[in-house]
Amino acid sequence: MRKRSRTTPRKKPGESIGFKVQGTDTGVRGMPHEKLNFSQISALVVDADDYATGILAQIFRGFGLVRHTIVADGESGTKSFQNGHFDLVICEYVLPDMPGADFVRWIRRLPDTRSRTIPVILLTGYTQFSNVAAARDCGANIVVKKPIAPNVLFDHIAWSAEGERPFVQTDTYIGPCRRFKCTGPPNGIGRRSTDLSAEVGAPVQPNMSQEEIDSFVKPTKVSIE
Amino acid sequence: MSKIANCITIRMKNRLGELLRRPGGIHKEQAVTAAMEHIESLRDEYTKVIPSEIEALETIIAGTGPDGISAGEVLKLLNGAERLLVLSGTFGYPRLEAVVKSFCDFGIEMVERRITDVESLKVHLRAMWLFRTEASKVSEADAKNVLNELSKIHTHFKAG
Repeated sequence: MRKRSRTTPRKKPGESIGFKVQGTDTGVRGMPHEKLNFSQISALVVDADDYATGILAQIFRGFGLVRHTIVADGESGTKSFQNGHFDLVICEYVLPDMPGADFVRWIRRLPDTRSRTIPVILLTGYTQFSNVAAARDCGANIVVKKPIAPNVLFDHIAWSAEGERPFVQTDTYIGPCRRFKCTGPPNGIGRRSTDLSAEVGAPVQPNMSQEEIDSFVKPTKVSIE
Repeated sequence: MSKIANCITIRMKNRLGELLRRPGGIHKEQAVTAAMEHIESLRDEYTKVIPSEIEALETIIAGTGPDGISAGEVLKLLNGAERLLVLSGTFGYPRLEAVVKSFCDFGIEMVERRITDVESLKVHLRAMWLFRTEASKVSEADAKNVLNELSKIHTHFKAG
């Protein structure tokens, strides 16, 4: 039995419970205030909840993402994915005929590398840690809590579009690399007073010359009289 | 592509990124504002269905036998409640959303602990009816009391 919880962890509607550095209202790290062109993107949405997909379709409309296909179950999803040409997949964690995680695993095991590495956003109403970990381990790029908010979806699509994340294939896991380089707090602003800025800033001391560095690092013999 | 032991690392061109960075496009603020406006256009249509969604939950409960509710029926309820959660969360009904979350948590607890008591679910449904509209007549203090009482149900069954 899959464990599910609505209250833990407690987060605002639409807030990410994924495993990425959070984007903020001022922009996504790496793509701050950048214009994004959604008009050429083709998205596949797999979700049986017609209210959720109706809302998602309106969000897409607002973004200018006109080429999207919505299907209600995993089987239709696999057929659409095989017959179509998509750049992004958004899938619900609980599908009527199969777990959403199985659908993602199916995508991640396709022979075609381009299809296999497609960005996948997994939506879930159940955000217990074990579910989030399971969602991550099936190979999804990001997990987003339902109900989804437009700013959260925008940030997550933008973040999925960043090219820095390699794709790994092991015996037990196929998906985007789950290790991330720490680049400081989001947008350089930390929540704690002790958080340092991601910016290096101006030097507080003069730079050492190579001679000084050598004398500091190299062991030298000294004569004691 | 690099390979270490049984791990293959693939560095692919990010097609999604390439497409998103094509000339034209939309700033985040504009995109979000437009999306919110489009979602708002659904408000009337989608909030009208909230009562029928609650009724659908009631119908499932009404169909339960004398032995209480089965795990399969609870899962059906959870699927229905998820739809209510999307509606209440998207269109700003925080009280209803809180009750639905409580309902879902209790439903999960029921499945895990094999609780078959339907009365506690009915109490949640009554609370949903109370908070089904934005302009609910229930005062803030009363709403808080209702939510506190619902949390007592959880405590009672956890203690049991």
